[in-house]
Amino acid sequence: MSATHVWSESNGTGEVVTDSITNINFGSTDAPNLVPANFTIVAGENSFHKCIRCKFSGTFTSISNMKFWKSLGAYITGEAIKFICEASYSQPAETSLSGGADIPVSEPGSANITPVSIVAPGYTDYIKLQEQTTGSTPAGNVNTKTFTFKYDET
Amino acid sequence: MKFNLIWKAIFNDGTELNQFDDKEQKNENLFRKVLERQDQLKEFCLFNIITGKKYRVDLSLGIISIGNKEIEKDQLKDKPNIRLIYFRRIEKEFQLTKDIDLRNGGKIKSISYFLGYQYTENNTNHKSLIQIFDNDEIIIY
Repeated sequence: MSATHVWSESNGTGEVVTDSITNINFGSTDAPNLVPANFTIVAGENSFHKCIRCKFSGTFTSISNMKFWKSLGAYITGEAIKFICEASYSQPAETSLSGGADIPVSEPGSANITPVSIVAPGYTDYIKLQEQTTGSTPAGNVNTKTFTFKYDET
Repeated sequence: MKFNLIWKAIFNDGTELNQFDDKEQKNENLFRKVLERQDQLKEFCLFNIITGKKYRVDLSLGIISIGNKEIEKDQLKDKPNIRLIYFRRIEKEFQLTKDIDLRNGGKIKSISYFLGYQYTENNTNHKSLIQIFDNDEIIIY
């Protein structure tokens, strides 16, 4: 017993929610569990935003102090992953992620996922991610990235 | 998910509340029940069910102990605002592309348990806290 945590992705105009997604691949379409080879990102362009949330179910008293960062995987030339956490949903697009900053590459000093705490089964706010490239980004696959999610639970 | 460290709360009236009512860890008492009686809480213990090690906070005296050894002692008296600190810290990691890592929200890298107390004196918050890992390694803050 404890909180059960899975990842959820939202897509589309009217927000179609897919719980328990099996990958967070970036690509040139707005879809969950996509196959990158079918939706390649052209050098100099951006991926569609990924709009994901953590879904907590099961029994728990609170979830708090949530932190999310890229812990492994070097960028190649011209590559960046942008990140922002927001309370509201917006349909993923290829345009540069509004308000997005480089995702932390080490553990943040304080929580960077909202809300401050979750006290009943439900979702975090939206974690919006985007893979960005430049014209100098070489062709081919980028390096595999590892992400870490850390939280406190009672 | 089964935990290696489970808690027990002991209240001033001698009553006890265990995190789990069974060895299988299926019937859990939420920590919320402890918070609801925080003003009556005397002791809060964590037991490592693998190694048998016991960690204890005595809130009436301001003592944190591991087994029989006291590691933090504030000689508290008349500190009605003393509050228990307890939570689990879960760290998960996953690769964006690897399906297996994302199941269950990612691969659990570590679970640690924070145990201690805090109180306010002269408008200053005092905190004594330890972090305990499954293998009984601890960090004292």
